[in-house]
This record gives sequence, structure tokens and C-alpha cells, in this order.
Amino acid sequence: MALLEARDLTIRFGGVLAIDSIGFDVEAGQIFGVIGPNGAGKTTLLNAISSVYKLDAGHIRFEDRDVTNMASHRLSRLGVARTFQIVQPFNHMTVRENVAVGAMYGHARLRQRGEYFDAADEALLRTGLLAKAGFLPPHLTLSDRKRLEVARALAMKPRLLLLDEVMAGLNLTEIERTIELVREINAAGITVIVIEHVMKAVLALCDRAMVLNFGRKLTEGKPLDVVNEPAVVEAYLGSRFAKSHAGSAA
Amino acid sequence: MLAQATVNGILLGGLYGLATVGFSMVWGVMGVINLAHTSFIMLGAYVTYFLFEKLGMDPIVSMPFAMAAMFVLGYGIQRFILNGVIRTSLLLSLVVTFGIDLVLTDATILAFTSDVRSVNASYASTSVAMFGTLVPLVRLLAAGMSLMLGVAFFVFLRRASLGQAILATALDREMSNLMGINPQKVFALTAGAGAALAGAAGSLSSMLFPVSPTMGVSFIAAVFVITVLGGIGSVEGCIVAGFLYGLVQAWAAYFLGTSYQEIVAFALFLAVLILRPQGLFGRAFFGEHA
Amino acid sequence: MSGTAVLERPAKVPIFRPMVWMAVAVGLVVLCAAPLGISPYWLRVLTTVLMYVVITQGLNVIVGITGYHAFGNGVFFGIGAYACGSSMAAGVPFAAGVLAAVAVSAACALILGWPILRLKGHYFAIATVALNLAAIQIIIQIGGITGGAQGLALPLSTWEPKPLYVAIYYLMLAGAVVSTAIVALLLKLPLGFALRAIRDSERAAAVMGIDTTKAKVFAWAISAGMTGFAGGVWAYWITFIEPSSAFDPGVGVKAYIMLIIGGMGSILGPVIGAFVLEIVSTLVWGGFLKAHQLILGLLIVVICIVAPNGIIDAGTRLARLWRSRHGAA
Repeated sequence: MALLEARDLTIRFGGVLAIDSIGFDVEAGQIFGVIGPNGAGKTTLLNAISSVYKLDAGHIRFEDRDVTNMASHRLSRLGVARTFQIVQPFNHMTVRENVAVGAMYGHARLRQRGEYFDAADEALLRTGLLAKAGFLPPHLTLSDRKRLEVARALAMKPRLLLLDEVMAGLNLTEIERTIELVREINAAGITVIVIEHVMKAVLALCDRAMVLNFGRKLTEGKPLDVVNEPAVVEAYLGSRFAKSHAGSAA
Repeated sequence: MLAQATVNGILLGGLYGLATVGFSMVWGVMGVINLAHTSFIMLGAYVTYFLFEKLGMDPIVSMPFAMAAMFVLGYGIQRFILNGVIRTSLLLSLVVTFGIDLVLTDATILAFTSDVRSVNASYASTSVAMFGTLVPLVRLLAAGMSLMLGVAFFVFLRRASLGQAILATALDREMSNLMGINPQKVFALTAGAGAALAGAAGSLSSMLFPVSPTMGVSFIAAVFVITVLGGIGSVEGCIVAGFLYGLVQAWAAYFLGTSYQEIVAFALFLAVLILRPQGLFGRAFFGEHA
Repeated sequence: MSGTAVLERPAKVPIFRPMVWMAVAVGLVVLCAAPLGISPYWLRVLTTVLMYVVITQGLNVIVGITGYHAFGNGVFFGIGAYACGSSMAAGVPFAAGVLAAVAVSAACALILGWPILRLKGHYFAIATVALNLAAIQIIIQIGGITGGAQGLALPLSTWEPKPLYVAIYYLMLAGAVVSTAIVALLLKLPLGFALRAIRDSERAAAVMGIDTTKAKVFAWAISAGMTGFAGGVWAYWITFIEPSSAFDPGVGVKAYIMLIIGGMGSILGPVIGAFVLEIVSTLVWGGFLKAHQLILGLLIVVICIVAPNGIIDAGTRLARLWRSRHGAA
């Protein structure tokens, strides 16, 4: 039984099919990648999994429990945590307080003052933000704000972590550091779903990857195999490029 | 009797619609809820009263003067006060406009005392036979002029380049700015136009209702409901919702009694907000679900 | 490293905590001793100030901490007034009347909160204004034990006026202290964190496990209970209430302005705001009876332009400006 099972996920916005009958499994302990060109429906899919958007069709099972269209906060308490592509820090609360909220209300549900601040500090340590615990988010760099998103999610002690383009906007060094961080998180036993554009991260991290295009699932498999498939190359780079490079390595 | 109430209600609704257009546009274009809007209506009525008393001017003739005066007032308030406040916080505009409303109302009391005045046009007692009932000419004129002004403004927004600038700013402020439209100027002009229309409504209502510094209060319920019912920022929504509102009010008074009118209005208001917040002509928002 | 130092300033500016506590202690002593030495007029003024502290703290919970701008929160003031008044008119003693005021107000917020708190931003703000105005009509319609449009006379106390007014003063003082303490406590509890999270990013709050609807409704109930307390005591104080004064939208708006003056979301902000605005408007009323609404209106406009984040923030900005022009960098 997979940790997360998704079948026939479909969401419509007016006349547009944002995601169309997508199905996949994520095994416990995996790092699972979701890739695809812009507008493919990756973030919509993530919003569907984390219950921010309601599904028009399909169902999701988490830890063998039906969680289709469950309220987001209940899903979080079951052990699903996510970050946002455009970071959403609590701007009037300190970094430590931001992370403490995760410890209080997430899967961890710590309600004692000492407990939740300790858990917050632990998450801050793992993400390298402990020195800035007293800062306010508007005073942090983008890279640090992205780490704050991750720290908040970690403090919730999730079983499944959804990372929405966590590498976007980072320079090479920061990308390396974040790849390391995700590896450590996964090593500690947390299953991770990664939505990414940065191929380097996908290839370095993911055990399996799924490609979306125009809201549909194109293919799924090991990252190196998937990025070399002609259909995938065509989706990203166009049919002319695909034809002229048919068969060669990416 | 029902026919009488229905016709009267619809005609009054036309006036309410005109009274609301400015409020709705200001909200739609810059997100400001102008609680001083009803004072513009009141002041428009006072301009007409003043010109009627001093120069014997007919209300319909003095309407353009009321509109001009209110345009200047609305423009000035937006340019010198609200444009600065909006930059800090939109919700602050609620408080500021409340203060402005206090100032305008109290200033009117100081200038004219709180005595109730009336404007009696020479044709005030004339009635026209329509749809099997007797309709006061002033009501017909008020509704007719309201509709004309509403349609004229609608056309202005879509045809004149200034009007299109206003619509563009309402739809996407940043993009309009990037295309060379100065939002501050658009805000001030929209506020001015909104106040002018309110002033027109005030002028017209002076033919139907007594004029007093607190007469704006009787418009509050109508303005709120029609704005939300029609869709914030939609002129055509205001016109249609105005007629609907007038009709609902008339029927509520006829079937339930006049004391129920306001409650029906507020119930309608809350129902629209909760069930269909974008109103009749507003844009729905996709994506976010509760 | 020095490049990043400019961006990353530490968040906390050292507030002189011991000084604040001392000021609070002194203030409390003064307020407790006040009735002994002041005229009945000023006793009335101070009682009103303390009443507004309670109302503004109530507003602070839903607006300052949770970020839901309840412009018409004064509706609970009226509900409290009528709950106390109607129950006393039915023979209930004052203490129970006050309890009824708190309970009924909180209950109304619990019931109305579910549909209305789903609205965001401006929509929520004017929905509360509509509620405030609609309540006037509803009371008139209900009539009966509420007295309807005629108004409601509360049973008079058997006490002499002088000691009665002093007792009411101390009751309001207790209310002010308790409501301030509730806000301070709330900020330390998980619920307070949840509300601040909702204020800053409701979407993020929801995915982090916060039941946002429950938290908001609960906050509004607390807010309503406090505001209702003020209304209930007020009703007994002035002994005669009617719909348009009990549900006067100006009450909620005044409290909102006091919240702005004092600074939203702070513990002592409402206290400062209530004192400043009420004392200033009393002085203005005394000096300019005719045009006091005008002056109040002007004052509101000026405050919003000059000090939209509270006078303390405006003061700090002014100090910084002065320092940058006159002092060393």
C-alpha cells in the first residue's frame, strides 16, 4: 500500500481543464518529482493534493484513508505539509513564532509553550535559520524565506512533505544547499513530493518522476529515463527540437 | 393599488440606481468604500435648494450646477486626502470617509440649520396616467433623468478614452500604469464623476423628498444593497439592480408593511454577499474554495 | 557579510519593559483612587473612557489580532445593552443581566460568525455595518420585552446616585483590566498565534493545520462578549435605551479609531487610544459645543493621514526623522 494514492484527479476552471484524470502512487520514503512545462498543471495538482482546491472528480488516499476533498487543516493534522511557490510567511511574527505555529497546529500538535518553541528551534537548526530566529520575515532574503517555508512545514512533523518549486529564484550555491536539505529531510523518514523546474535538482533528488503536460500525465518513471523520452523532450522544447535530437542523451 | 406601488417602486429604483453608480465605481476602481458618498447626495440636493430659493431655478435646470459643484468636491477630496490614505491601507479609507461625512454633514447643519426644506417645482402636483395608475410627473422625470445619466456614463466609460482609462484601471491597475495611465489621476477623476452623479441624484430627489442635512441616511441601505447586488464597479449592474431594489422595496412595503422595508433590504444584502458575492454583473473568481 | 547586514536587521527594538510595567502600575493606582477626588462630570468622562477601553479591546481581538475589520462591531454593544435591559425588565437582578449581556452577545457572534466570517476584506467590513444598522430595525420589529421603537427603561437601582456611579466606575475599570488581560493572555496562547497567522496569511494558516473558521468564530465570540459587557453595564448606567442609540454605528467607528490611534494588535494600544480620543473629544465638546461633530470629523481625517499606524508609530517615525536631520548617522 502506497503512502499516497491518487486516481483520476480532475479540476476544471470554468471551461478549462486544469488537470485531467491524473493518477499516481507515492511510496513511503520516496522522493517523488512532478515536472512539466509552465502551465502544465503542477501547482494545481499540488493544491488538489493539499486540499486547497476542491477536486471535480477523482479521489486521493493517504495512509490507506480516503482524504478526497478533506478540509486542509484536517489533512495537515494527518501528516501532510506543504510549502508555497510564492512564499507566504506570517510577516508580523518572528521567524521562531512562524515555525512554532507549525509545531502547534500540525501533525505534531504540541501545546505547551516550552515544547513548541523547542520543536521550532529544532526545525530552525535543521534549516540553518536558528541565528535569525528573532527576525521578521520581511527582513530576510528570498533564500531564507524559502527555508522558513520548509522549517514551518518540518515543525509540523509531517509524514508527507510537498515542496512547490522550492528552488525557484535561488542561485547555484543555494540550490546545492537546498538539495542537501531535502536529502536530509528524506533520510529522516519523510516522504517528499517535489514540484520542480530545476532539472539538476530533479535528477539529483528524485527516485521517481512524473511528467505533466496540458493538465494530463504524460509519463512516469526514473528521472533519467523520463527526461530522455521523446514525448517529454517535445513537450518542453517543441517538436522540431525533438525530431532533430531523437535518440540522443539529454 | 399593487400596480401603483409597483410603478412607483420601479421609478424610485431608477433614482436609487443613479445615487449608487458613483459609490460602486469608486469601490470598483480604487477599492475605496466612501462613507461620505451619501453626503454628496445631500449636498447636491442643497445646491438645488439654494438655487431654487435664491434664483427660482427649476431643479432640473440646476442639476448641472449641482453636478459640477460635487465633481469639484469629490475630485478634491480624492486628490488631496484619499490618494494619500489609500497608499497606507485601503481599510483606513472607511474611517477617513466616515470622518469626512461627519465634517460635511455638520458643516451643512451649521450653514443651513437642521431644518427640513423642500423644493417645490411648478409641476410638482402634476400627474401622468400610465399603466392604469396615476404617476406623479416629478417621479417620472427623476427616473427618466436617472436612466439617461446612467446610460450616458456607461457609454462614456466604453467610448471615451478617459472612460476606458477608468475601466482599465479597475481591471488591472498595475498593467494600466505600465501602459501610461496615471492611477492617481484616474482615481481623482472617478471620485469626481462619482460625486457628480451622486449630486445629480440629490438634485432630482429634492423634487421628491424633503431636504435636510441628514437625508443621506435614507440612502445608505439602498446604496449598499444596489452596489453588491449589481456587482461592484458595474454601471449596468447599478441600473438594473436599482430598479430591482425599488421593486423589492415597494412590494415589501405593500405586502409586509413599511417597517419591514429596511430589514428586507439588509436581508437581501447579506444574502447576496454570502450566496453570490459578485452580484449580477460582477466577475466570479475561480480557484479558491472554502 | 556587511552587504547582507543592511537587509537583515533584528526584529525587536528594545522597549523599556520595566518602564512600561511601572507606568501601568502607576496608572492603575491613579485610576483606582480617582473617584475620591474628581467631580461627577469627570467621573462620567472617565467611566466612558474605561467603557471604550473594553469596547476597543473587543475590537482589538477581531480586528487587531485576527485582521478581520469589523467596522460594525458596535452591534454587540447594542445586543449587550438589550440583553441586560430586557432581562432586568423581566425581573432579573443586575449581576445576572450583565452575564446575560456577555452570553447573548457571544452567542450571536457564534451563530452569525459562521456565514459572515467567510467573507473577506471589504465585504466583511460592510456586512458588519449592515448588521449594525439592521439590528436597529430588528429591535423595532421585535417590540415586546425590548420596548421596540419606544425604548426600554431599566429598573432603577435602590442605591444613592453618588455611590452608584462610583460602583459603576469600578465595574468598568474591572472590565477594562480584565479585557486587557484577556488580550495579553490570548497573545500568549496557541489560539493567539492562530489568529495572527490568519491575519497574515489565511491560506498558509489553513495548510498548517489551523481550523480557520473555528478560530475566527471563537475570536469574534470573545470580541462580542467583551463588547456586550460594556453595553450591558452602559444600559444600567443610563437607565433608558433605545435602538438608535444602543446600536449607534458611531460607537463601533469610534472604537475603531481608538484602535488606530493606539496601534492595532498591541496590548495597551486600546487603552491609549481610548484615553486620547475620548478626552480630546470631551474637551472639544466642552469648548465647541456647536461644531463638535465637525471637529471630531476633522480630527479623524487628520489622524488617518498623519498616524495611520498609531501615535506611537508616528512618534517613532517623527523621532527618527528628527534624528536623521539633526543628529549623527
